[in-house]
Amino acid sequence: MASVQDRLYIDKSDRKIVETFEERSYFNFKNKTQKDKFIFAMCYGYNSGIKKMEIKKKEEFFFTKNFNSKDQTILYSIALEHTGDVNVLNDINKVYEIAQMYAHIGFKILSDLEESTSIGGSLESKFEIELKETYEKIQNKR
Amino acid sequence: MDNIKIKNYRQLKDIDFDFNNDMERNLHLFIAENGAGKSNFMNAINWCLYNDEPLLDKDSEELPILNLETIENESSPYEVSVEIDVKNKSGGTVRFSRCEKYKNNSESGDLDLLEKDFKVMIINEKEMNPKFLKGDEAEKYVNKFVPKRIREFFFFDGERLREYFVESKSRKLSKNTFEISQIDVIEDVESHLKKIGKDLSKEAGKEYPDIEKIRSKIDDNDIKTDETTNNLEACQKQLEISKKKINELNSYLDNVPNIDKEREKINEWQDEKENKEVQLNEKMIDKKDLLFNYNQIINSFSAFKNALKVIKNKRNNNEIPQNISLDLLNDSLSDNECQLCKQPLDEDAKNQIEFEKSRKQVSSESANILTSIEPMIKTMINNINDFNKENRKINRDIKNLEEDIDRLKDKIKKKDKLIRGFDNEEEITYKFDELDRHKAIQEQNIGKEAVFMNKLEELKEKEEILNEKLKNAMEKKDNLKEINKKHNFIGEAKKIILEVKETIMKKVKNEMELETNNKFFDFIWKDHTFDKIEIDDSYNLKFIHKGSGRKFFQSASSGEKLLLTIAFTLALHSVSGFHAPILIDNPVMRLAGDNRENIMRVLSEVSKDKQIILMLITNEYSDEVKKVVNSIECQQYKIKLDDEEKASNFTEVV
Repeated sequence: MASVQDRLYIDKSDRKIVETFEERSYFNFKNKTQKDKFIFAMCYGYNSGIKKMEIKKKEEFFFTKNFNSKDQTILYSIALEHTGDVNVLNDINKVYEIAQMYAHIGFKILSDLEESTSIGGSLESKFEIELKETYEKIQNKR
Repeated sequence: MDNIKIKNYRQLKDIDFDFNNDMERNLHLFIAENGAGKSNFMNAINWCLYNDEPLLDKDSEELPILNLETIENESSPYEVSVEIDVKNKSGGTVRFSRCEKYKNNSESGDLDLLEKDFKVMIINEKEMNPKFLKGDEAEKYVNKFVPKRIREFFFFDGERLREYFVESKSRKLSKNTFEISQIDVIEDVESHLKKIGKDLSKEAGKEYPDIEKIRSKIDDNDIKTDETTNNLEACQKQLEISKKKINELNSYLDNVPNIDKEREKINEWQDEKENKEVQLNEKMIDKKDLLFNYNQIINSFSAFKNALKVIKNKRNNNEIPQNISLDLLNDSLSDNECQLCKQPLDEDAKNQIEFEKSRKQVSSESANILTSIEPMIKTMINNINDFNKENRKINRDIKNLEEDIDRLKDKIKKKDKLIRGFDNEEEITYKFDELDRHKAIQEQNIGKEAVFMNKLEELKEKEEILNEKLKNAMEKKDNLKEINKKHNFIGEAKKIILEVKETIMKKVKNEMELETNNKFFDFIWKDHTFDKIEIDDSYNLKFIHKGSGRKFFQSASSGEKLLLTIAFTLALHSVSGFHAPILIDNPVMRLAGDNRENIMRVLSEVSKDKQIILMLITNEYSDEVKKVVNSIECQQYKIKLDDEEKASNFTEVV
């Protein structure tokens, strides 16, 4: 049985995105922990609709001991929905693998969104519009 | 006024002007650009009569009284003179003439005054030789023409209209009622009687120490009264000076920003702006945090919903236990009581708990994870609801702060631009400091004035008590019968004189009030809301509102105030017997449109019986004014500066 991994990774290319976001103070990134940045990207990536993206070169990002119960809840929920198999919950490394993939997706889309802001608007205001749309959809479904 | 001759007086180098008093209206208009010498024409009249120049502007103050062209082109000594011919009541002519001679001081380059002269020449048709008055006699004669202290109601400035009935002027008027009423003779009698009374008590005091003691107290009280009266007069004089100085500074500083204060204001706004910017920055960070935090729960929502669905299905299939902790189940069994509903456990209940317990122990790890994440998922789903409210609030706060900052930036920019427009910053700051200083002095003197007035009241009361004591003490002495008789007689005479004085003053005041009302309501051109005009004992004028009876003055319109000034002036002329002309500088400056025309009509009407001289600035000579004056026979002259701007000429308006 494989040992439970004690740290999570991001794609090497995502490191640059994180640094850019910190420099430009997007989402108050410079005052957030690595774990929080990871969860942020993961959730955003998860809701993008993209279900697959390969991490080419892994780089350590933070230790899993930093997760709290709220983070774990999000991680498990996403893994459960991604696989459609409840047994994924028994495989924490798989849960982490799914989380890493969505974080990678998230960082990439955020980076694309940031690049598109040169055409008009700011990253955060575009992000806000998207978030509001998602929120409206949730409220309509309820 | 029949004629005025002005030589070398400021811009007015050589003027010999005949007032044509035989026209339909005795109305004379002088129209001039700023600086052409319009106000100095008024100053020349004042200088001739009273040896001062009340309307002198800042620029002229720094120049010599002599005409500049004369100084440059002619040789010293120079002479400046003004002669005014007026008609007296008996049809004769009175000539007031003042002249000063100057020579160049070759060392200092200044002009030295060589000699000055003021005289009045009275030419009566019946008498062959004219009569000359000089010195005090000449000054007294001027006061018969127009007393200096009330000249503002003969030669007045329409632009400073609002100051005419302010307290200090009213007080001055009230004091000068003696002069208006010409009852200063009665005052002389009163003081003479007082002196005789004092001499009598002095005589009595020689024989009786108790009488002498009271008498000497009365003397002390008199000395204190004189001192206090002098102090009060000095204080009131000082108040006049402050008022004049404040008016001068205010007119200099009209529309001029107080640069120091404005800069303080800018700094205040700058601080406020920086403070708002800090707040905005904090809000922006709050907003970033809000988006960051809500992203987690909003974008994971479908995963949460899915997880809850899985949990529900599993629970329905009994694949996961109820969401009750193992400890709770153990406690219920050991206490034999349900820990949730506090009911004792029967056998069925015990079995059910045992079953749940065993299911929990044997359920899979995944089932346990699902059970543990279920409450957190529900909490997060609930929290999503607050997103819109929180986001809206934060956006509103940001918008408000941004608007506040923009407003402050705009205010700072405008104020900064305003300050930059004035290059004589030092002088402006100095003038504002001066204004503050004079206001502070004025404030102090207002306080002092009240103290002196109170003290005078006290001294007056004390005087009455002491006089009563003196009277009683003297009456007790048998051998003072003769002195007592005289003393009592003097006392009675003083009382009568006082009553006469009060009666005359009251009569004058009542006549003034009646005349002012008559003139005002004769001339008012529109439906008005005044019931009448009231003049109190201190000569404060008030409009009485129809119906409500409310008294007001400052809230009346400029046109109404000017009309009241004219009505009051005419009443003053009529009651006092001073039949001098009325000169108004800038008569319609503060008026616009119909009000200009209305006031001009009133002045035109008044000029049927009285000489009216109006000094207008070019833009006052508007269509409304022309409409009135061009429809009547009157004199209209333009005052124009020559090309070198050193001498003015009068040319008739065609």
